[in-house]
Amino acid sequence: MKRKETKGSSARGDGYHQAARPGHRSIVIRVDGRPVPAVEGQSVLAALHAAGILALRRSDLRGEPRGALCGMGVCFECRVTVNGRPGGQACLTAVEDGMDIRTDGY
Amino acid sequence: MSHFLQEADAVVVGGGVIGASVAFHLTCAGLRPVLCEGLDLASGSSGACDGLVFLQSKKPGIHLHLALESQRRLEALRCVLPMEFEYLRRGGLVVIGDEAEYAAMERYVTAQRQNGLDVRLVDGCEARRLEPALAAGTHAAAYSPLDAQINPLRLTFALAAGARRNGARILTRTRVTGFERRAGAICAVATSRGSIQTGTVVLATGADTPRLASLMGLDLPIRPRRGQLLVTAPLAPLLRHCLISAHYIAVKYDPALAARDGASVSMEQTERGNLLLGSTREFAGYDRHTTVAGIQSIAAACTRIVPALKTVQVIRSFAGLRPWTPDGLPLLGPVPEVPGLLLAAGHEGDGIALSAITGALIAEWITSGHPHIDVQDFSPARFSDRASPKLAVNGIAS
Amino acid sequence: MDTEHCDVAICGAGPAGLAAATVLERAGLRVRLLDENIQPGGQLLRHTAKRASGGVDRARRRGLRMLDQRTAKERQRPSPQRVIGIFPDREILAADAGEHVIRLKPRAVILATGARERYLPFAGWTLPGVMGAGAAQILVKTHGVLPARRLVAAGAGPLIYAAAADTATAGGRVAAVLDQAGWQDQWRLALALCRRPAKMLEGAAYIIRLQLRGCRMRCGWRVRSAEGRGRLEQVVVSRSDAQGFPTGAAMTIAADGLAIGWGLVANLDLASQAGCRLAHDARLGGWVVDTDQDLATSVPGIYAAGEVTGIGGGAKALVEGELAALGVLTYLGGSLGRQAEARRRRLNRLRRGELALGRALADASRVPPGVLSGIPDDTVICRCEDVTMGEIRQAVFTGADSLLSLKRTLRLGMGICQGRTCGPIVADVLALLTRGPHVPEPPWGTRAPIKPVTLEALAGGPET
Ligand SMILES: Cc1cc2nc3c(=O)[nH]c(=O)nc-3n(C[C@H](O)[C@H](O)[C@H](O)COP(=O)(O)OP(=O)(O)OC[C@H]3O[C@@H](n4cnc5c(N)ncnc54)[C@H](O)[C@@H]3O)c2cc1C
Ligand SMILES: Cc1cc2nc3c(=O)[nH]c(=O)nc-3n(C[C@H](O)[C@H](O)[C@H](O)COP(=O)(O)OP(=O)(O)OC[C@H]3O[C@@H](n4cnc5c(N)ncnc54)[C@H](O)[C@@H]3O)c2cc1C
Ligand code: FES
Repeated sequence: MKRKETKGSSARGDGYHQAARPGHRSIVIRVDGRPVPAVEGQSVLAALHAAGILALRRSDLRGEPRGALCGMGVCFECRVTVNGRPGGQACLTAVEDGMDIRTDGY
Repeated sequence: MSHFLQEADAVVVGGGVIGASVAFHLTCAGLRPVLCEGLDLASGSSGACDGLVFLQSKKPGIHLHLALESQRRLEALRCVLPMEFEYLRRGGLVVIGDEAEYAAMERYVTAQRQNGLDVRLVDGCEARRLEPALAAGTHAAAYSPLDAQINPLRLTFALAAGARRNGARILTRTRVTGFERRAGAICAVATSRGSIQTGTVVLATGADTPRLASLMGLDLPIRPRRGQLLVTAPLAPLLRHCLISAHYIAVKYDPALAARDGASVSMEQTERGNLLLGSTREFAGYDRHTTVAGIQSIAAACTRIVPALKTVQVIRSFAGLRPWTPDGLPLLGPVPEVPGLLLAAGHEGDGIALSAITGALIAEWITSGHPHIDVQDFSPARFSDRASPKLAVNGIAS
Repeated sequence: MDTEHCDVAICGAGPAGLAAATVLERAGLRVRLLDENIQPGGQLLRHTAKRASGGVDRARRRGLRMLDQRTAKERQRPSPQRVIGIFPDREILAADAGEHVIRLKPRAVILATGARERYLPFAGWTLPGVMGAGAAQILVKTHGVLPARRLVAAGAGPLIYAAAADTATAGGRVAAVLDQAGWQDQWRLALALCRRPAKMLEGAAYIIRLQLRGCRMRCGWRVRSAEGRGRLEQVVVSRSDAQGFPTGAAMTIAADGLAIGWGLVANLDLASQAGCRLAHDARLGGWVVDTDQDLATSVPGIYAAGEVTGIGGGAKALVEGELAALGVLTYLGGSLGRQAEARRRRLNRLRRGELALGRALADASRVPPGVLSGIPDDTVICRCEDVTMGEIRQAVFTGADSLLSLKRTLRLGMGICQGRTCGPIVADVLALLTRGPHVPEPPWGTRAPIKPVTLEALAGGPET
């Protein structure tokens, strides 16, 4: 296998492609104070991922950034603060219009 | 089993905090004991409990006296044992719910002060100044700067590591299945991995002690008393002190107050940040399940005392079996009916706090025959009228 | 706390749970189907951003039909509900997204909590951007979001191919798919799959789709580390030998997403908490719920179906869901008619076939011990409590020789996930460090609440 393209594609900040989902309403949630578009029926994880927000919390003891691992409710790495309540699993929480998400938790 | 050792100065049965402490103190006296634990270290109640070294909850008299000395020894052990055990002298508050509890606590605190404990009653305002997380309507509290907490798992490991370092053998997954006796006296211990010749056996098997004692025809009044506990997610510092409700003491010592409803709770925040919220007191045999009613009552009582807990997440619960005795005191020392057998069991809800002194006393008994404190009140002989030793010469059972 | 009465509570609305519910409702019982996911359907039937037809997979087609029949009912569902514990006498607590806890008192319970992915750690595996193949698949298929702009998929088993193919189809670039298994294992897998032409077709379709989009696919390759500042930027890979040890020079691939997975393990949390006896079958994913012929567990009135009884896939889950439902009907006192008895015999036959297939597939995708070698000491193994590989090595070196003693010394498994992620890893690491062969030690028990819930919710309602 040959080494190809050494430069990592910087996904920082800018979004991931999000397919149009016919029949689903577009809504807006707030993430750390900033508006982020989302599609009704989506998980909070998907909306954050689409916006290029991969680091969802910091690990308790070492303070490392962490993001979703399992995507299905098992690993608890996707904990975010949902409407003021800490510890919500982003992958199991459905987005709602105007929902307030914070990713500065532990 | 070929590599299995055949002989020992003493065999300690049980790898909880008490067995580990006994083994450690025996090595300090120059002996080389063997500790046999059927499962892993701290598999029993020492691995399923709070870690309060709460002096205020100890009965004024010899019980409190022992607890005070045990605490001094625990503090000294921090420099001696090869492992840290998260000892924190946070001070403790006994949260008083109403006037009736206050009256009972007044008598209780007076007696404790006469026994030399640094403790005082404070009103609701001062209680909240000391512990801002308490509910706005907190009636009053008793406060002692001495109350402390410990990580009981780490204490057990630290004692075992100290014992091992000093020459003890710690055998895990080695279940004791019987005892051999010659002319009534113990001469060997049978285990799942072979037999060990010894003239001295210490039963430190917590709530399991009656089962083992029955192999020698003894009928001990120790019973398992279940305690359920909740663990929260780690939090930023929330509690400055260890807290218990006055009801907890009432349940322990004042039958009149015990009859009133309301759960008796204890709360502590571990070094890691998790809160331990406990605990129920139930007789449910050897069943270690948690129950809906148990979990619910702890959650309700704790959120009433510290309302900020309402939105805090519980991440698990567990239950341990306290080794209960009818008079609330442990059984320490030789058993007259079986020469060579000593008991170190029945500490109910105080085993962590009393671990250090228990180990020291048992070691003194074995090496010199008389401990430095008069511990008549703890003698197993006080229940001897119940004991009915069958005069089996070979009491082996499996 | 409100108490609801029902005849049967089914935990998990994947194919197994759905199949069971269908049979029991037809028999006139009041069924409560509980699932924590935003949509019902479990892992097999969840990929429905475009409401697929199910493709060539018969099990998926059947499952989707069942799901459709239920949709009206499911729409009335208040919200997803996670089961947080099963207590003595089948008292169940479940919590919804609004932290409202209900109590159920069913006459019987079916555990259909499915499977989760198995992960193996490597340096950098905790970087955001490194995710399970399942997570990647869910993002792209259910939610229409690309898991990465440039994805590498690595590990073993069909899911890494599925995740890569789905990403490629949705317009993402897949730099490489690196399969741990060597060619011999691939042939064995292909042979095992001869018995399931549909599965074979599905696999072939993935590979063709990837090939058409210029993705490199390699067998006998592994990830050595993931690197990046704050998130994944590149993946370091190399060849590996049959034992899983890295050989040859390391190479770097730029990527902002790495999808990993090494097969599946059963989701035993609820069964373990409820006190059901477990059994070990290395060829069905390791520890599974122990069941009898009727899929009854060791706890009276609790049955199990689907991946929890052994990793075997969607068809097995459907068969077992139906079987468990028949078991429950007998348990509740109904005698099955002649027709149902005949059906039960047929289902049992089908089940044996699925189990055999599951075992054959497992043989072809076993994880060699060398994969766990060379993990640097500062790599985090337990993500909740930040316990590192070095601390585990040290603890084993100083005498911890069992999963339980590791848990008690290092707080492994005492974090918020209760050891779901690190449990299987630590078991493998321990076996490697103490050089098994061991009698496998049961996984750490899970305790109620098996998923976190607030104190307020637990206190809920009048005190008892
Ligand atoms: C919920 C709860 C909260 C508590 N809170 C506190 C507190 O805050 N402060 C405090 O001081 N105390 C507290 N306690 C009490 C304390 O936990 C106990 O008193 C103490 O742990 C008893 O220790 P032990 O060594 O006697 O028994 P255990 O820890 O139960 O140890 C007995 C050991 O013997 C082993 N064993 C049994 N049979 C055999 C056999 N045949 N062969 C070999 N080994 C055998 C068992 O496996 C076990 O490991 C609490 C208890 C509970 C349940
Ligand atoms: C990520 C992933 C992708 C897969 N893709 C495929 C595939 O493409 N093809 C294939 O044949 N097989 C696939 N599988 C295998 C799959 O597990 C089975 O085919 C099938 O889904 C098993 O059905 P089940 O009903 O046993 O479990 P699942 O389908 O896993 O359903 C279990 C359900 O239980 C729920 N649950 C678990 N615990 C709780 C709780 N405490 N409270 C409430 N609800 C709970 C879960 O949310 C889930 O919905 C995949 C597995 C995974 C993990
Ligand atoms: S990503 Fe694992 S729980 Fe959400």
